[in-house]
Amino acid sequence: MNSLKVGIKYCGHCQPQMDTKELYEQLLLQMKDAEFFYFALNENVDILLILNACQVGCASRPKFHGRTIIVTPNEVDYWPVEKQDIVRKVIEKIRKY
Amino acid sequence: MKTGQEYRDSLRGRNIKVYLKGQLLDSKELIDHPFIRGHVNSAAMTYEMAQDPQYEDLMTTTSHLTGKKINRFTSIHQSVGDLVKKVKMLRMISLNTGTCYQRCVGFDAVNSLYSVTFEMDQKLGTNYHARLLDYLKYWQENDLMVAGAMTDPKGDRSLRPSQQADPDLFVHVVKKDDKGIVIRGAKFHMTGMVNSHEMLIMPTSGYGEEDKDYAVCCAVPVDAPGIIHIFGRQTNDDRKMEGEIDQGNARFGVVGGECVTVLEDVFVPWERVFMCGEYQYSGMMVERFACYHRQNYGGCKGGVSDIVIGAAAVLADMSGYGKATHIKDKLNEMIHHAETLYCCSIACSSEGKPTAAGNYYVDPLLANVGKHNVTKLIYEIDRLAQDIGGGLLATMPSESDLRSPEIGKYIEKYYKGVEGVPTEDRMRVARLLEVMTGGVALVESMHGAGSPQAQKVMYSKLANLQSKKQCALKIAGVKSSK
Repeated sequence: MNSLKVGIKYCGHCQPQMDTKELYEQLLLQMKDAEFFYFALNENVDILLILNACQVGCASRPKFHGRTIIVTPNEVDYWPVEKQDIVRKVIEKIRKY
Repeated sequence: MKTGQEYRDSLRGRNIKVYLKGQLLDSKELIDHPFIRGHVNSAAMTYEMAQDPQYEDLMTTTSHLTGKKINRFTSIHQSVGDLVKKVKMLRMISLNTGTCYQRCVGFDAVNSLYSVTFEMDQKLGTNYHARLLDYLKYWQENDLMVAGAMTDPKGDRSLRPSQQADPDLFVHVVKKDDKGIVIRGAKFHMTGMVNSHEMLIMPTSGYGEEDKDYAVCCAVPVDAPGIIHIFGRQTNDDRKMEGEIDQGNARFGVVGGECVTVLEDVFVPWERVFMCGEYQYSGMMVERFACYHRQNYGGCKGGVSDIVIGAAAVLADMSGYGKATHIKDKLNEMIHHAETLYCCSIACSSEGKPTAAGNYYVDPLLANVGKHNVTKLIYEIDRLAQDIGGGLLATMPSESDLRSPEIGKYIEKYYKGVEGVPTEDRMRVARLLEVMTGGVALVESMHGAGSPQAQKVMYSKLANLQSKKQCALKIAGVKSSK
């Protein structure tokens, strides 16, 4: 079975209220069954995960026709999520693909 | 795009003449000079961060000329979104450097010139815009750092350039031929000039016909024949010849490593000349540049203020009074001021609109109000930081004393704050606060992008007092007044 391909895109981190690199590292650790790429380097992915460091969530949305998941320090896909639950919620969303 | 290392290497290839405290520096080694290296490190961050996926959303964009990915500092704003991202980018870089990274001046100069040359060509039949596009392609292709050169020495401020006893007190054209022009004069407060590749020269004011020789815009390599740079002194700069702690921000320095640039009969080929005698457009050029540059300050100074606020809060914690109500109150006041500055920059960007040339321009009223706030609120933020920091900021002994085998133990013992925090760490934060809240850092907030009166003149012109009077009269039910 082919593993799920996830593209990562960061915001520009002008208000770093969440360590998005740490979040990404947690995903790498906990999702051995998925492959992760920087979206700017590889757009051939199943899911685009946009990681915003603050609640403004202003990271630009590149053209992508697949599933997009948008994360801010207090939301996943615009649904409120407690900070400590963000990684779990993102994994859940990816696995639902 | 260049990497940080490629940027540094490219600087070593210049034949630039920089004098520092009366001595000519070796052009290959000047970027390592203790007075200069911090500013180079800071500018290099604009290259390094553009390579990092965490920052590329702000640091990079797509060239509207070539379709290639470019560093945002080399771009022409194509939308309101670009104007907003510029401000966010500046705040983000300030958060990572705590100081000026110098590259916005040339960025603002080329964005101003882009619309001014277009409009000038339409009206006067000149060919400057096409030349600028060629130059811009070269700039983007080589990811250049281009210093913006606007402020002339000005001599007697009550006199126009052509009325000055010395005609060179404003940069002017002294000769023209079929190959190009020769310019003479000097430019003051040249941020990042000694670690740039080129400079973009602009007039310092709007001129009349009698001063048309002073209406000149052109691009010149910083090491072109006839150019020398004299590096400016900064508050406590000799500390850079010692250790690290007393510098406060040893890695990135304070403000932009300014110099005075002397242009002694410098030849500029026509393909790098973007205004030459079109005095009617000199005022427009200055105004557009000023507004773009004033847009920046809630971004960059917002980020610098974040560091000041953070340092004040940490120093309070290290000293055991971080939980005091009055400290929290002061920190909140500082946050309020910093975010107010940021609001102005975001607002003038959000209200931006396209020019005739197609690039986007900020709302000038809000940009000027924002910069004027900087000339006040940064002083208030820094005053509160010094209030929180305590007299320690002004009286603390040196790093050499801390390291001294004889007296170091006394520094360790008596400059200790709360248990568990090393004395050295407390000294580092105190020094950072000292250098960020005094001396050249404060003056830069006052006069960078123009002195407060310049902003006041612009917003008083733009605010339309007459319409406010009419609205008031209408609401008051006054019918007779005209």
